Amino acid sequence: MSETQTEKEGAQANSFDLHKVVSRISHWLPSQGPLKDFIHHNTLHAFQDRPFHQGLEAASQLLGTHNYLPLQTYLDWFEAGKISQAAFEKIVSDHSSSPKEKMHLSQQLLQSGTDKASLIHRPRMRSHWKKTLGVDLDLVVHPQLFQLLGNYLDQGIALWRMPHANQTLWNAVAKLTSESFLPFLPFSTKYCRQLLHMTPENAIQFCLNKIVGEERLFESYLQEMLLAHPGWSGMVHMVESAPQTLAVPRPIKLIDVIAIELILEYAALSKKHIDFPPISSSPEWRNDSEVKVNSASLKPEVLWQEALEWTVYEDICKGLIANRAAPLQLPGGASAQAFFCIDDRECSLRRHLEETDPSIETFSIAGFFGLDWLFQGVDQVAPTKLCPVPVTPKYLVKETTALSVNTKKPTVLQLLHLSPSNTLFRGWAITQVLGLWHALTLAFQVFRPGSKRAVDQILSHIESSGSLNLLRENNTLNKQGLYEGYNYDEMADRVAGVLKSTGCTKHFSDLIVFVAHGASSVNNPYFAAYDCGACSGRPGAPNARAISWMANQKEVRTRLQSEGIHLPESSHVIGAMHDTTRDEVIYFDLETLPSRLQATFEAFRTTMDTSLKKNAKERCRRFQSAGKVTPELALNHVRQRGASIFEPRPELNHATNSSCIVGRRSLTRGLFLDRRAFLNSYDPMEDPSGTILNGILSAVVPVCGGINLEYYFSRMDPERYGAGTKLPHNVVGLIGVANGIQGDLLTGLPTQMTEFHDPVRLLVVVEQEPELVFKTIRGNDSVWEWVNNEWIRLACLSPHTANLYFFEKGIFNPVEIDAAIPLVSSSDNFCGPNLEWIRTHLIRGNKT
Amino acid sequence: MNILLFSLLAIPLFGSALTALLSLFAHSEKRVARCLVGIKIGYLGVLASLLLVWAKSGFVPYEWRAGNLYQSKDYVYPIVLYLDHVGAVFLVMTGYISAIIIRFCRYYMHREEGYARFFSKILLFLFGMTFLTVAGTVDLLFAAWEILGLASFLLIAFYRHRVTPVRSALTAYSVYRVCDLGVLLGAWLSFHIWHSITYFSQLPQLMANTSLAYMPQIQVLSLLLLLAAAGKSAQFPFIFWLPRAMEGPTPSSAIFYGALSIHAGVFLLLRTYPIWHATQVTALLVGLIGGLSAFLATIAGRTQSSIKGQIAYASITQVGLMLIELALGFKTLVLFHFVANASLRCYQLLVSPSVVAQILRMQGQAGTGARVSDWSIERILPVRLRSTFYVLAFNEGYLLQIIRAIVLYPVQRFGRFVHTLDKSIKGTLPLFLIALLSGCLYFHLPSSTTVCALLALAASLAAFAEKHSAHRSWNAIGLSCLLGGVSVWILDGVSSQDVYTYLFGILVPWLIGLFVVLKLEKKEAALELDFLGTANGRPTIALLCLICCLGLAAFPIGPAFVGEDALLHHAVGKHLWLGISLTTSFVLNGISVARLYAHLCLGPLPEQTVVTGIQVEQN
Repeated sequence: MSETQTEKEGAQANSFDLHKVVSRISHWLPSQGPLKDFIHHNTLHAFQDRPFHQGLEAASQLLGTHNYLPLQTYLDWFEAGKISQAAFEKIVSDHSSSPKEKMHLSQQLLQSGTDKASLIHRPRMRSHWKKTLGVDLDLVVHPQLFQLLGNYLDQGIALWRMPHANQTLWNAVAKLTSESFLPFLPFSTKYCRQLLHMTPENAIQFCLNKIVGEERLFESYLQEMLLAHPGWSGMVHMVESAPQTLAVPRPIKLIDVIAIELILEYAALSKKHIDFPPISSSPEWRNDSEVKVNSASLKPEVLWQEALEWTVYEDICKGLIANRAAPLQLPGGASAQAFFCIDDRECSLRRHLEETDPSIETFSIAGFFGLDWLFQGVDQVAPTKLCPVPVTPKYLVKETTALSVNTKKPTVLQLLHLSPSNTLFRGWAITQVLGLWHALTLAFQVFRPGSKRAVDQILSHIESSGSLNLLRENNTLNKQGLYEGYNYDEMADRVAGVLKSTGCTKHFSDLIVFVAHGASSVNNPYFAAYDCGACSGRPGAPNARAISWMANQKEVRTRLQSEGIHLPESSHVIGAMHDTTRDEVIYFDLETLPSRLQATFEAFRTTMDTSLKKNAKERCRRFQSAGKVTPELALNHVRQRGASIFEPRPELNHATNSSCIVGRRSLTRGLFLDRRAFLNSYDPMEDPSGTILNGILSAVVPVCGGINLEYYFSRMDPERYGAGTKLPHNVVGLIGVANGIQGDLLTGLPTQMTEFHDPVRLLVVVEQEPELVFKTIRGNDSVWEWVNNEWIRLACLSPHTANLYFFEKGIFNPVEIDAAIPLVSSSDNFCGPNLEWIRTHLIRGNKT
Repeated sequence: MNILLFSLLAIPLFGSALTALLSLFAHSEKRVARCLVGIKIGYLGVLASLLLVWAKSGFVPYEWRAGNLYQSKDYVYPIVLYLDHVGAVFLVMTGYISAIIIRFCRYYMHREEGYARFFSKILLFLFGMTFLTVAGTVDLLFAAWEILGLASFLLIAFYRHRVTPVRSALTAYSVYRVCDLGVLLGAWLSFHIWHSITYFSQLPQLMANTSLAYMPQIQVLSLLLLLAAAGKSAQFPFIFWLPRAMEGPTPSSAIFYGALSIHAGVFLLLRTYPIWHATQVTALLVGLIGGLSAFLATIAGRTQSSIKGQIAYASITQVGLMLIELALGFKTLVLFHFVANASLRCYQLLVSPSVVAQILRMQGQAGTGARVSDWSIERILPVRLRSTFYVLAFNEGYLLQIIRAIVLYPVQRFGRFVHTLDKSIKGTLPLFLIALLSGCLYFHLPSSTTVCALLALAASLAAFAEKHSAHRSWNAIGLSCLLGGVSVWILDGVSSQDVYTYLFGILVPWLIGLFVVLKLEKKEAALELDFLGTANGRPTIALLCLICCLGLAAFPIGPAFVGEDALLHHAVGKHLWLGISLTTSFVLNGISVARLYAHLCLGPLPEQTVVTGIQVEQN
């Protein structure tokens, strides 16, 4: 905090430097890309250099947002037992030094429910105009600006593109104004025309002098102006810093947008009064006034939040310790081995799979399976990145096919959106001809939603319609500086990476399955948020196909031998994809399966199908429209859900995620974690140096931490951090959603995705000795920032002693946890309709 | 058949009231959903049997004169329901689309705050729409027209805790209200022409006399009807409100602006076809308006980068074409076009969230990296013309600016003038007015009616311009209503029964409302009237406030509605200008009341801004 403040003061001493100011402000803008690339990230990424609670405090001052639940909610949860007495007492004693103080503090906390939630409102400079001229600048300027930006950045909704949109916004507006015979309101007044002849920088200077008056207020004014519409400012900033995120490129700059907005403001003000007084003339803004908050005082919300978190953490740790004490052993060798993504939605499927057939062994690893690549399917315009955001892809693979998919007929929905039914003459004809037919389609879709896979499977490339060209033929880089394919050494490297990282280096079974995941929904602009986070918000199907193909190559297996991994010839690897919405698994390239494994595979498929039904049933407990269901009905229900145009919640996605467990499966096998945990396989015994752990943490922390915090903030302030309810959303320019046609772009998640979420920071539990973990995270700056500033919480469980250590204020402290947890005979016990979270349970079937 | 017609109206009205009650007192979604199923099945069942019975009678237009709602010396307000093939088509579509939307929303609105409230509004809309299609006289049609306006207002402002929806709702309502002028005056002008209540069933016979068609009154009447239709169907020059109204949940936008409500203007023109189609001048005008709307809407729609905006403009375009078809006399084609357009746009809006996925996939298949470009007309234009058209489209034909400049600003300016005048004599203007008025009355000055009507108008303008104090605005509206009543009263030969009915209808909601307004206003800052968001915290008092507002605005729930109608009847009968003046002030009052309600009850709840903290006790 102090750093930015000194920076600010330094800037004030010098004269006003526009570019520096803009780069400072753009730091605070939300960084969410266009809809097709929806990637979960920490909403308050800009504040991550501060400790969590301080960062939140700073954010609430700057953005005027809620960062905790209302106190009354915490109290209600305490009453209902959702926040445990033990956790409450622990947090109170952590924050007090004497019994007397403890009494006092807990009394204060218990009475705090009567306090109203507090929001910090910075005095707004713009209220000056409302008082003096009666103009609400936001009300006048925002719709104009949003319409202009939407039309300029549009990726394909408008039938008629803005003229000169391939130039900068500034030039486009200037040209339109000068070329048009009709006035381009409100740029067409004499003053504005003159301003448009200047450079944007000069126009900004001019307008600021007129509107604000004194230089010392310029930065605050610009900040206020841009943060009044964070969605659009953020989008412009994103596109400016990464122009390739748009398929139709637009050379937009934040500076241009600022200039245009100031001109719009200037036009609105001078229309009211030609010589309006600048802001600096008002007594309120004579002196710089900063909101000062007594940050020495401890906010009760902070303590309550910590108590809630500790309730959850304690519950998970209890489960791990209890499960470790009585581990479920695999009876003999595994009949099949399945690799899943670490995603919390796979947690329950793995459990059901192992419960249905105890001889199946499961592993998990971030769902991009170690492939650092761009992939272009046969029906994709451009290559898409199929690895986590922080990874820079070095390879490009293009799928080819003998069939031409371009001859595929467009679906009905596509015809509807794309046919010129919105134009005048053809629209008339089409309406007359197709209109009635749509009356029937609509009725059919609403009253008899099918359960077929939805036709609009987006960019999600899930069908294996062609052959992957994984093997590189020459060693030249292409134009983008990428290798087109992998050579055998690199393939062996990737496969070995996956196997070593998961600790699966011996005892291979005959059938090995790599299961990627994706989701399917219709009528959902947030489709990308439901797919695999480790694949940059895409289904990971190509990754599963590719890694399986690689692992099956003889050349790769011989190279693996030299690394000490003996993947026998009898083993065969296949790729698959789990559709988390429909609970359906698709297998790839089955024609390569040797006939001797046919029976093994069929057995695996049957087990998988049974598990999917059970999994669907477990998910149905939170779907009120499902009611009480059998596994078959449940499967039917979730499939209908994914195909219904009226269903705003095709699935609940990552709602309720709360922890990430990095360790051997024996730690979590037979443990009911209520789909709340990301699971990452890691064998502490095979990693004495911590290199594997470092690799895992550098993927897991930003991906899972990003998902977790996006849910956290969207839940805490659904209207400001989140996108509010999705029911009135309107898709703008294919890049974002807004409320109605005049709203700002919305960032974050809609309430339909977050309403079930219990907001707690992610607890990462690593099965490793604390010294080694500390060494590893200390050496990795980005992970260290997350952990040390407590944006995620870290614990480690010693593999030798089973002692638990909790990372707090820079060190690992040992924690004593009583390991008594309830025991049930099977997962089926939890499938009744119930919206609340269920605590961790041990599952021990009758057989053991 | 009569019973069927009656229940067709009663079921949705009852349903709306029931769900409104549930929204206040019970919070169980299940119970609401169960009610909805009952209402839906009931409505569809009645509709089907009605059509069957009607079909059995050979599709002969059927009229039911159910009696008089109100009767005085020389004024009746009959209740007449009418069913013909135009009405039947609209009824079938209304039933069909409502059934789909209700089913759709039972899932879509799941767990949404205001679940019951939403359905209460949808059912109110269904009632209004049914009423509109079966109304047998212009007066009844006007009542339905008002109900539709209210339902629209409430649904656009469904997300009442945000400011933009509330403002958009006010814009839409204001346009509706201005267009009410058309129906209201039209109703009384037609009475004036034919000297009896205008039954739709008799229109063809009434217009059979060809000499009648060239009466200037008929021309004026046609213009008024056209104004009403243009406003309701977002035609020229009102095309701007429709895209802005896309603020409610997607299905409510679909049923309103995609499917049904947008075609209400077309329905009005179909109903009154014999009147306006009698001369070529007015028919040409209808065609012209349709053509202009279609042109402006289609170019504005082409440049829309938001999907709902594009669909809204596409719908306006098609309605514009319907007007052209009507002008050319293709009535059956229009009906067909209506059915097709309603289904298509409704569907398009409902699946609008999937547009991203669809277009991106299409782009992928075409391999162009951009939208599959159609051949479009603007490509052949020279650069400067292309920019000109783009600018025209971007500014939506400048219609909003023009209407603001020629209607809104002058009214506001005059209102402010009255306001400052009042301020300069320390708020005693009402006293002066009353003194002046009693002077006029005492001396039986012949011009007292004029003075009185003008004062009523002035009071309306003052209320309209009042931006600071809710109760002052409320009182100005009340005063305006009373003055309007008095101005008719002092005419010769007006039945005092009508006047009493009217005054009673105004005074009761005024006084109750004054109490409510003062109570709500208490906390209000001295600054400009801001949104208070009462409805979010105290729904019961907000509902009371709404009822008072409706009463004062002479909405068809209280005696003021009939009284108003009766007064206008007398006024138009005597002097047309008096009628116009009274209707104008009536329209203005309606807008002011809506704004007042919006400011008092809608909008965000002001949030607490205190910073709380626990002081850790130091030892």
